[in-house]
Amino acid sequence: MDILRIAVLGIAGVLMALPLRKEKAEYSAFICMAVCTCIFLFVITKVETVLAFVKRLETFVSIDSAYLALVIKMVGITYVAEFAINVCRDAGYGAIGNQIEIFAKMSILVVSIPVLTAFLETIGSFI
Amino acid sequence: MSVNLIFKIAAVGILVTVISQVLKHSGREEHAFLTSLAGLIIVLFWIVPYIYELFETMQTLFAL
Repeated sequence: MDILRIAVLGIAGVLMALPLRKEKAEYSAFICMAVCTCIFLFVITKVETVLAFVKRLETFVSIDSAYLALVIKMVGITYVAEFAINVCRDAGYGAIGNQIEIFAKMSILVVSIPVLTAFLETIGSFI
Repeated sequence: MSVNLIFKIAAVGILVTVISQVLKHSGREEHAFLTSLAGLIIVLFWIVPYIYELFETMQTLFAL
């Protein structure tokens, strides 16, 4: 039911952006950005429910909440980076998209360093 | 609010295209450029707070 609205919104956006692509490419990029933002706002409501579920799950399974927060941060970085990369690629600027992609990967790596160190320490303690 | 923003942008886009074509054919190149610039700025003013609000919710949601 929700997916129908999203699909219609996406197709309407594309059909509106197409005629503008030849003369005025910037307006088709604007429309694409507006449709992406609109659909992203719908995605966020879904993400909130998933995050609530994950928080509830935390009480059953004794996961250290720090690692869960890191995972959520990584998901957030991926979402934002994906949004920016696709908007840049649609406008035709793949190079900028790749730069954002590299930056996103690096920031995820940096965020995951504590997890790796904890993992290595536990391994070290076994040996 | 979100859906008719898209329609507004499309309307401004089509309007500016038509106006710049008319101005081009009537020999006023710089006016055509100015109108397309004005349309660009108007749409920018509409869309930037919208994207800012999106990134704001992302930040609070994911604790970035």
